[in-house]
Amino acid sequence: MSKILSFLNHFLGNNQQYLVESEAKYRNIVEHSLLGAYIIQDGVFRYVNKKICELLGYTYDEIVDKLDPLYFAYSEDQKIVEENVKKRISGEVQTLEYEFRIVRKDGTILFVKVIGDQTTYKGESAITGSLIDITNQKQAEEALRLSEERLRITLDATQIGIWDWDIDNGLLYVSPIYYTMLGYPLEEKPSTLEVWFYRIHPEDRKMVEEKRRKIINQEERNYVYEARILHADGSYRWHQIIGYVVGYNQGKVSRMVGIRRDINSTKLAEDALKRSEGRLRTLIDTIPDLVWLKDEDGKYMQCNHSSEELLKATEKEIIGKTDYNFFNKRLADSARQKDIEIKKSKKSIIYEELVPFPDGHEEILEIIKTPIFESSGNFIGILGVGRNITERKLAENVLKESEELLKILLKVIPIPIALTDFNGRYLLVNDAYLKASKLSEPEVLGKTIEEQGLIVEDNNQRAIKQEMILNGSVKNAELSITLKDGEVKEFLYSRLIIRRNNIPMILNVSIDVTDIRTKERELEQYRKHLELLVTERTKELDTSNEELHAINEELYEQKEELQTALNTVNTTKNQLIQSEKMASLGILSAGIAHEINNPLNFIHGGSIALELYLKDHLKEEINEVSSYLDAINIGVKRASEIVKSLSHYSRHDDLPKNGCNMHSIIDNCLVILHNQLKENVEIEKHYTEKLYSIQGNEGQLHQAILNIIVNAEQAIEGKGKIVIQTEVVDDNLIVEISDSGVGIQPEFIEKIFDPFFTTKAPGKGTGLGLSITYNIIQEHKGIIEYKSKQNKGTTVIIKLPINELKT
Amino acid sequence: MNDKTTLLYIDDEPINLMLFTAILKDNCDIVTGLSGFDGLEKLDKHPDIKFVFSDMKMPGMDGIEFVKQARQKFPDITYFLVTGYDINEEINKAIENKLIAKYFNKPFDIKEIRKTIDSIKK
Repeated sequence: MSKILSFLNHFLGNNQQYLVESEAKYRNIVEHSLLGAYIIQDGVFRYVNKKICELLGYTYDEIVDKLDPLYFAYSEDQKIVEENVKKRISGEVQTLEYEFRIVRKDGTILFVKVIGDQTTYKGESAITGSLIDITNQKQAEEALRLSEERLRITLDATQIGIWDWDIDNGLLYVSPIYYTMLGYPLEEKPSTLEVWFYRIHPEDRKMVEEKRRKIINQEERNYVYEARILHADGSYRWHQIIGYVVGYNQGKVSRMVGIRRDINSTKLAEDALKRSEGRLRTLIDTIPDLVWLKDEDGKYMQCNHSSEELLKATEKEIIGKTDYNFFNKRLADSARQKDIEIKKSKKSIIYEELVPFPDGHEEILEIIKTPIFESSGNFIGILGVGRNITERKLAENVLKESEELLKILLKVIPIPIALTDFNGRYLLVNDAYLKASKLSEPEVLGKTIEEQGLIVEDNNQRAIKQEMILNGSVKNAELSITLKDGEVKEFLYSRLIIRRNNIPMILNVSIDVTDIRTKERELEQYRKHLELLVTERTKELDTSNEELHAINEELYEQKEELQTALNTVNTTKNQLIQSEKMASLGILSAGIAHEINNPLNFIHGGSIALELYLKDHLKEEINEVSSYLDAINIGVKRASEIVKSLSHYSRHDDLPKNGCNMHSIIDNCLVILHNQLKENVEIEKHYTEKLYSIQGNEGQLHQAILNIIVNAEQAIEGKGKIVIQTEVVDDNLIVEISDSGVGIQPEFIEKIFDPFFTTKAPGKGTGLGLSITYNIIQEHKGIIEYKSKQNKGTTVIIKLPINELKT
Repeated sequence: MNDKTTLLYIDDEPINLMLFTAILKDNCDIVTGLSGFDGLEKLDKHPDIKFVFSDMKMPGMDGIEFVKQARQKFPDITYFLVTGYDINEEINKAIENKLIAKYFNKPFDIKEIRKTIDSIKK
């Protein structure tokens, strides 16, 4: 457009001369140009082309040489036009461009743009220019401006901020309201996304990031979310953000625009509403009454916790169901019927009902049903409130029943009871009264006691009156009454003022104690007699009790003794078994000793007789046979020794026992064995220095110790040591003889005390030594024990009681 | 009367009687008996008997019973017991009560018997 204009200007301006010359040639072009062209000289149009005529709505002849430009200018724009014309004419400016409004012949207004120039026309100074109709463009611009302004005002008014997110560059353009809304100063440059992201409440950031991620990943094309945004004052405000994807670049999301609005007050109100709803809900759930809401079809819409408990279902399970799901048909039918009636009548009702619940138990409920309508009048449903009044009902029933019971009781109770007024007239009596007074109801009712013909003893009457004045009631007062037939009855009389139907009356209760009083007198006699008897018996009992006590103590002592005896029996059981073995052997050996000794005597005697004979008659041969005789004698001697040893098994309780010094016994043994003890056997003695005394047979003890030391010595192969130690422990002397010998094989340890048990070569030991030792220690009421470890040695422990052996 | 001491030996074993006699015949005159009853008869027959040796265990009448009876009649004689058993309570009592002077074990020690006889004779 501007190119064409400059061409025209050139054509119309600077080349005026050329134009004139070739006017005919170009006139046609100008005439038919789409731009309006004109020449003004001396304030009036000198030339206008067709387009100008068209624009202004006048003919060529009406304009040229007649009208000036101001004639067409819109009144407000006349000044601009006048100035601009002047400027060119005066030569102030060569060319100019401006816009103004013209008024057409038909009165319509057009926007035009003028590109003006200076020129000469017919030799005179003139101005020229071209005129373009820019009305359409102007109108569009105006419409846009207005629309933008409207939008701005609207957005400002509604506190809605606009944003435009340039994703490629990470920039965020936001509208000014965006800043003012949050109290931040306006920034000229667009913010980065981060600035705004960090103004989001930390708890909401994750959600926002997720929303953005979905947009970037093109899972969604828009989003709506609510988040808390940091206000410049430090508080957070709830904002709603709505965004749409509007641009893509190379398949990626590149631009997103949207709005943001402050919903803080809405949100807060919403929260408050929720809280208040929550409180109400809690309230309804907490009350013990059942609360429910049913729609017009009888379906549960809502119910409280108590209802859940009784229906044994959660609210979720209950909602949508009807009474038919929970109760029997009769009950559900009746409830449904009531609901329908209430909806119709629009009035609430209250009634009681026995309701069997799903778990089988029944309760009486007081039910209030109310129809609920919206403010617009729409029916919402029926609100039900059920209160458990089972207990109250039960209490009412109990009261009724107890009244009944009282009536029956009054009738059957064998105690005379009467109600009288304050004048002493009888209003009500029970059967017992009639029986006791031997009167009929007509003889009693409406009459005083005197009128009934009964005589009350004066003293009693006075006492009762006195007590009545003092206490306002009488309790168990003595009352003696003479009946019509002369019989005297004794009562315990009580009087109480009661109110019946709010009228004060006197309740008279008389317990017939006539028989009791008679019995009491008799009993008193018995009691006195019994007391005497009891005193006597108590004395007797005391004596036998003492006896029993003594017997009991004796029994206890006996028990203790028995326990001790039992313990002794247990501890000596094994020893008994062993000694029993020995005792049998003793009897046996004593028996056979005689039988063997006689034949031995034959051999021995025969040998001596032979020797004597040889000495007398065969002196020369005696040397030759003496070794044979010796063999016989050695055999006899060995055999007789064994027999003699066996004799040790017979009891020797009769042997004399004296105080023995064990140390000297041991020393004697060592002296006897001195020659026999091997050179390389060392003897070590550790004797106790404590004083002690053993009652025993020295010879026997000597033999016992000897046997042990011999065994110890024989157990040592090569070099070795025998340690003899004595000790006094409690009431015992302990002799320990240890050797460093070969020890006893474990399988033999149980047999070592058995007679004839030996591990020695034939002729070296009889196998009787240890068993004799055992016997001797037993006879001294001692204990002998062996401890042995193979190849380490053997220890013999002898325990002998001190000062306890008495012959 | 020869100067040899006469002694009585009672034993139910004839071999013992035979050997006792054979060994001591040079020193003493020996009368023997096979039982207590036999012994009492022999004592009656031989008033010169100074010593009596009796076996302990014999059928019918044991050594102690025999000595008891013999001592009643012949209290001056010295009595001895010979036994195959070891010493026992009965023998101990007999010694304590001076019923017998001593007892000897079988097989008998001839030397001891001789010594005893000699010591008492003096």
